[in-house]
Amino acid sequence: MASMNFKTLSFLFCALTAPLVAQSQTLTPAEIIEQRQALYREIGTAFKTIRDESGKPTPMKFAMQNSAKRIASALREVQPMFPAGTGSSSGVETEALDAIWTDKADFDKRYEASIVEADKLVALLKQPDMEQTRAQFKVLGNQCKGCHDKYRLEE
Amino acid sequence: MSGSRKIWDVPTRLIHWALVVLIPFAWWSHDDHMDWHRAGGYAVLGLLVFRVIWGFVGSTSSRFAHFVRGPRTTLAYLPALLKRNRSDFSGHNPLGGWSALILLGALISQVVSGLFAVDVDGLESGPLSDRIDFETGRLFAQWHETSFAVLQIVIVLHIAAVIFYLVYKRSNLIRPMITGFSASNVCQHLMFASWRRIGLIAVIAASLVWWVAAGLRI
Repeated sequence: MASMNFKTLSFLFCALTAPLVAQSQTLTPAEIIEQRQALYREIGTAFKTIRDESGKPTPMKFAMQNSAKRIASALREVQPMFPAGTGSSSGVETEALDAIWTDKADFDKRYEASIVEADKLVALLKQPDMEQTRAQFKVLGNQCKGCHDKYRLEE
Repeated sequence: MSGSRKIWDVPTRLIHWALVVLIPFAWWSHDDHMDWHRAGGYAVLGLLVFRVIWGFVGSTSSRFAHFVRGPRTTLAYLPALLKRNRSDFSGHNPLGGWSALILLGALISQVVSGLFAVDVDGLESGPLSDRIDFETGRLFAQWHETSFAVLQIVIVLHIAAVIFYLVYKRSNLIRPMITGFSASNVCQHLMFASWRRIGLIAVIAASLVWWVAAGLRI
């Protein structure tokens, strides 16, 4: 193996990774939109869990923490799932408005902000104080809502 | 006031006009003021609970047994629709009775679906929605939306009917629902429930709403 030159190595590298790259590039807009929506449904489920628990006399902290972590991780997963061509032009039913791509800089900035707020919620849930958690939950909800008002089709 | 007698009691009239205010209010507030929307929903729930109980133990003209007529009586009334004069009933005519039931049913459907509804973000939801999962809550939300479409149609039909009676049949149904008095000459004794009974049913309705708002947790 010591005698393998750079050319051979790079050929092997490309040969091994090409299938992986090819697969991610063959995801159709319909598939991307479907995965996006599935992740958002997970986020919705997680929000509901946190809301349900925080309304109970003895909230299940563990369930809330898991949900908050899922929101933070799912937001990160969805973030790169808005490539060009996955809006109304895709021909697939989606609630993603064209403004996402005409205003991509603002969209990305708001997305970053929502991840920051989600991380804050995860951190606060590690502490016993529920009041701060509830307050941060509202802050995160408003952050999400602000983006939805501008970039998601109203029902 | 000759030829003018009391038909509708205070609770029935109050509930009617309170709904006229609360329904548009609930529609307006659902966009950005969910706290107000929930409050409006609870108010409607309380009024509906009162009205349904009142339909069994309230004043005569408000009781279901008094104004809900069978198919034969209702069909027999239909020719009177085309007559350009008022018919005399101590309260709802047979068609009006059925439309009141339909309106009540549409409102009950609207409120009950709202109690379990969950919005698309999982952020806003009804007081009983923690009993069900996210996807089921979404189904209730869709029901809540469809129900409102039906409610709007029923309300438009109701208003159209009242206008028809006013213009074609020369029968003003609005004033009696405000003053309680109608130029009716029907010789039928109407009982009007006491203030004590009104108070008791109001307390029952309010307690139930308070319990629902607390998620059915005492």
